[in-house]
Amino acid sequence: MSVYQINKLCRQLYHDRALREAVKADPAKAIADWPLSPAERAALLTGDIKRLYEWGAHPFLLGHITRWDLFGVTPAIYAERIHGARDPA
Amino acid sequence: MAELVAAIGVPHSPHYPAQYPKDGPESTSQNFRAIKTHLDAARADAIVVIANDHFNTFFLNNFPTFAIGVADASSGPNDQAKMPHYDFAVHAELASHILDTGMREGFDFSVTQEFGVDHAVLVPLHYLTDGVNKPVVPIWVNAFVKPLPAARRCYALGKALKAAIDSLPGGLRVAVLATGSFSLEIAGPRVVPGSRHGVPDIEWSKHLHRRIGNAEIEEIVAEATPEQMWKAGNIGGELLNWIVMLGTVGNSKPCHLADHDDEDGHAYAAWRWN
Repeated sequence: MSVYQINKLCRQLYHDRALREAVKADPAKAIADWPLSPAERAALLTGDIKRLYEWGAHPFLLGHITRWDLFGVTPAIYAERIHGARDPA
Repeated sequence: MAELVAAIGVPHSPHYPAQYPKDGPESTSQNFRAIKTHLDAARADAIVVIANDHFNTFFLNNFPTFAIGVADASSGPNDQAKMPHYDFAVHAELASHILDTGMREGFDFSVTQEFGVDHAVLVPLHYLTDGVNKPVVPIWVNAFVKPLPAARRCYALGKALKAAIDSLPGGLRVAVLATGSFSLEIAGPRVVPGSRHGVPDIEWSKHLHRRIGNAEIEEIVAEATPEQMWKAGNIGGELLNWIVMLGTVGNSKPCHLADHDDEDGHAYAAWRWN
């Protein structure tokens, strides 16, 4: 599995206000057209930071979602969930 | 011929401009002001900035190991750093000459002719210039997408950069400015609980600071292994920006080295000639 699309989505969320607003309004609908694997989609929608990191999502990009609490991930929740994550191979 | 008149190393934390005014009493503001005094005294005509992009100018669809910007102008920041926007000149002649010299010496730069720059370039210039009023040449080093370039390769790039400056016809006065942290984790497992940041290896940062003060540059290059830089945090590779700059310095001690920033793992150093 490549997490390229997760990284790409996180980057676009940082630069694209319209996409951010759409994710805030309806996360599943907003990312429906993104070519994510079912597992990636589920991890993102549930804010499973640890798994996304372990799959290779770049922390500098993944961390952007906390700037607007996207996918329910506040900075505090992010810090809690990233703790103990293993570095990707 | 052109000449290298100053080399400088400073951090580029994106929250600094909003937190620490240029004329503020805080130690960060004071550290930048002290460096600016040296850069002003060096009377540089152009500044080569060695920095790492944070997925703002480049992305994983095409992420360069070493890149150089060759254009007449640029602007930024192109990220969301809370700081003034700057439109500034790029020194196209110097950039082209560094590109040509680098290619001849075996450094196969990626080239961009249209680009913005992020906080890594502009936070230092915000503090160290009067409104980015000198032409800039940006050189980007991949400091945080594995695999990173080897420290020895970055050091050799610095030597090639010095040779390029020394061989540019005319009397241009050039400063080289490296930006980055020695130990920093952003949004990774080693952040301080409840925070976006962590400084995983403050002792490494102190060690590098001592080495720089003693002009032990070859030792730094030997010690900056991928494992050690990763141990210092997922942004620990920003040391490579400094190592490129140190390649231009030779074995000389800085004329100014601020006390180590024990809180953020940062150093502020300046070298001057003439």
